Amino acid sequence: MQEHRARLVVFGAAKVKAAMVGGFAVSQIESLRSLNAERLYVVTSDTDHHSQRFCAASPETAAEFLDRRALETRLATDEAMVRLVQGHHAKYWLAGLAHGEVPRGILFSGDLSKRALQPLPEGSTNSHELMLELLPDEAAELKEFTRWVMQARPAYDVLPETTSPAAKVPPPPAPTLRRLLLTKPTKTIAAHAQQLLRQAQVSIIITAWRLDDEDAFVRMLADKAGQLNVTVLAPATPENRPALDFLAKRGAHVHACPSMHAKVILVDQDSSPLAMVSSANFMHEGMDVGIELGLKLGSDDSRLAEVRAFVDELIPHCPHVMAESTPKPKVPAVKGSLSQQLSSLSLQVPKRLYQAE
Amino acid sequence: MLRAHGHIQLPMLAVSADLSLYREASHVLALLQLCSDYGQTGVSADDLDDIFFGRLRRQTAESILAQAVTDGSLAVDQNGSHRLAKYGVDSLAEGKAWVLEDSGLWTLLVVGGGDRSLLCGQQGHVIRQIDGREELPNWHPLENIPNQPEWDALRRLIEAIEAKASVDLYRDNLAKKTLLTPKVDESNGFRWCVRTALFEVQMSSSGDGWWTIETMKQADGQSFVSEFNNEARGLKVQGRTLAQLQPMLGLGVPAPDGRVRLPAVDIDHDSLDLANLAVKPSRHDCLGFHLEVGALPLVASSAEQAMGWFVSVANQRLGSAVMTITQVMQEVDAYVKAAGIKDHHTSEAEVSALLSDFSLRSPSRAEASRIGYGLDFS
Repeated sequence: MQEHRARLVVFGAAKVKAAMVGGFAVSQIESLRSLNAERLYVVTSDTDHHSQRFCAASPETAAEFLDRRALETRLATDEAMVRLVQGHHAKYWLAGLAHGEVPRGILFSGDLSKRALQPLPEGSTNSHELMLELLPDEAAELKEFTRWVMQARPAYDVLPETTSPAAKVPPPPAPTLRRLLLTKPTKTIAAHAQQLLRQAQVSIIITAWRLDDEDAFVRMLADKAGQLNVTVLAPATPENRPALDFLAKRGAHVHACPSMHAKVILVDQDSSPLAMVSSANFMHEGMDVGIELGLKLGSDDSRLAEVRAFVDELIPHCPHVMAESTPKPKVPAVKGSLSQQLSSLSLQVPKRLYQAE
Repeated sequence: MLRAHGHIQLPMLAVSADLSLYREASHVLALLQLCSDYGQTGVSADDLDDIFFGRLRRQTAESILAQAVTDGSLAVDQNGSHRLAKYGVDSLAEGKAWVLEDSGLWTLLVVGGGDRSLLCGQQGHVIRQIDGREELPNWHPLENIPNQPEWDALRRLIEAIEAKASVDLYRDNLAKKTLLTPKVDESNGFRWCVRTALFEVQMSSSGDGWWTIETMKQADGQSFVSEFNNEARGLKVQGRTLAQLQPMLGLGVPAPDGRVRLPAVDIDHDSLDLANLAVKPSRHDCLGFHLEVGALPLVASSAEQAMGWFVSVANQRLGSAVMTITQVMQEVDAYVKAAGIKDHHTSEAEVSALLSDFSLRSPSRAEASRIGYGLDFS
C-alpha cells in the first residue's frame, strides 16, 4: 500500500494542465491531492450504494460507501470535476490530459479507497493491488479512452448537480486501441483472456476479486485445469465459493486470498510468459457489460517481472482451498455469512443522485 | 422597466372656446377651394348659398363663412367678399382644413411644454369639456399668474392660442392637433381662468424613449379634476423627461432600438446585472419623482465590450453547467448577440483562451476543472 502511495506521489509530482483518475468508487480523496494538475477529473461508477455495499470487501469498506455522497460532494467542491458513469469500473490514473501535453498513465487495480491507499487500523488489512505504469503509446491510448468515457451515457455530475435524465445522444465511437483492452464496447478483455487460456502451454495463474462459475472464462479455465497447472488466488467469500469449488474439483490449485483485489492472468510464467492485467472481474459484469480497462503484456515486456513478483509473493501466504463436497448455495448465503453481516447494516438504498449531460 | 411615481403640481387653464380639428375632405376644404377658384373676386354668402345649397340655406352659408374667418382661413372685406388668407392657402396645400368640432367651456391640464412640466420638452395638454354651470373654485384671472417657471408652459399655451396657432391636445388617449378659438364666456363672464392641481402620477418606460402614464390621481379635495384621471391614462409621451431622468440612473441615452447604450467606460457592477444583460432594479429620486428601474436591455458598443461583459459573468454562466467548447462558443455568441452585436462569431481560439484564463482564476481546482472541461474534452 505504502509503495503504491509513494509511486502515485512520484507520478503526480510533475505539473500538468489536466489529469484524470478513474475507478469504481471513491472513499478516499487524499491521494488526489498529490496530483500536481491544474484541472482534475474523477470518474467513478454511478452504481447505487446498495450495489457497492455488496461488492465491498468487508462490512468496514461497505460502511465507507455510506459516506460516498458527502465525500463526492467534497471532492467536487474542492478538488475535481466528478462524473459518475454507469457501469464504470476501469481503474486508471492519467496525467497530461490536455491538448498538447504528453500523457503518462498508470493502471492501478485499486480504487480510490482507504483499503487500497491508506494505512488501516490494527486487525484490518489492505487489499492486494497491482500497479503498472503505462508505456507512452499505451498512455496515448488511455487518453483516447478517457475522452470516450467522458462522452459515455448515462452519466451524472456531482456539481453542478444534475438530476434529470440525460438527453439521448448517439453513443460515441469506440476508441481505437491496440495495447489496451476494453469490455464495453469491444469486449476485447474477454476475448484476450480466453486467447491467453488457449495459448497457455504449461501454467495459468489467475488472481481475482470475484469469479462466477457460470462465466465463460471460468468454465474455460476449469477445462484447462485438467490439462495444465492452473492456480487461482481469490477471496474465499460465499459469493466466490461456487466458482472456487468448481475449479478445485476440476483440478485447479485454489488459494484463499481474502484481500486479493487485482485481476491478473499470467500464463507460462517460467517459459514464455504472457499476461493480462485488467479491472474486470471474471463474471458477467466484468467480462460482458462494464466499462473496464485492461492491458496485455507480451513476453518481452519488462513489467511481467512485477506481475510475477506480485503473484509469487502472495501464493505462500494464501492457504489452499479444498473443494467442498456439497456446494453451498449462492448469495444470499447462510446465516452468519459476510453477506448477511452486510445485510444487517440495514443500509438505505437511495435513488441515483446525479446525472450529467 | 423604468417606473416613476410622484406628486406633481400641474397648471390648468379654463377657456370658453370653439374647438376645431384639422381634417381632410370636409366642407371647409370645399369652401377654401371655391375661394381659391374665385380668386380676387371673392366669395359672398349669396355665392356660397347658390353653389352649395341651391339658394335654400343662406344662414348656413353665412355661418360657414364666419367660422372660416374665425379660424383664420378666410379674410372678409367690407363688401362681404371672402378671400383665402394665409392659413387657408396652407390648408389647401395640405389638403386639410380646420373644421369646427364643438363649442363650450374647456379645462386644459397642462402636462407638457415647460421645463418643469410632467413632459419636459414636449407639448402636451389634456383637455376635457366641463359643464358651463359647473363651479370653478379657486380659479384666478390670467393676470394673476405667478412669474415662476412652473407656469411657463401655461403662458406658452395661451400665447399659442392667442396667435391662432394649433396646439396638441390629448383626448380619448389620442393626440390631436387642435385649434382653440376663445370667446367670452357669457355664463361666467371670463375669457381665461387659471389655477393649479396636484396629482399623483405613475409612469413607466421600457427604456425605448417613451413614457406611458399609467395612472393619475387627483389629490384630496380636488374632485373637480377627477375626469383627468382617465383622460391621461395610457398617454404615451416622449421628451426630455426621460433624458433628464436617465443620467440620474447612469444609463446614458437610450438608442432607437430601445436599448440602453452604456458608455465605454468601466462598468459599475453594483448597478448592472450583466448576466441578464439588464439594469438591475434600483431606486433613485429626482424631479420629485421616485424612480424604480427594472430590467432594461443593454447594448454593447463593440464585440470586445460584450466579450468583456461575458468574462465578468463567466463564472456564473460557465459554472452552471459543464460545457463543451462548441457549447461555450454558442453561449458566448448568444450573449454577444443579446448585447446588440450582430454577426459576431466567436472563434474556438477565443473561447479556448477565455476558458483557459478563467480556469486559472478559479478559486478551486474543482471549479477550474469544470470550466476547463471544454478545453480538455472537446
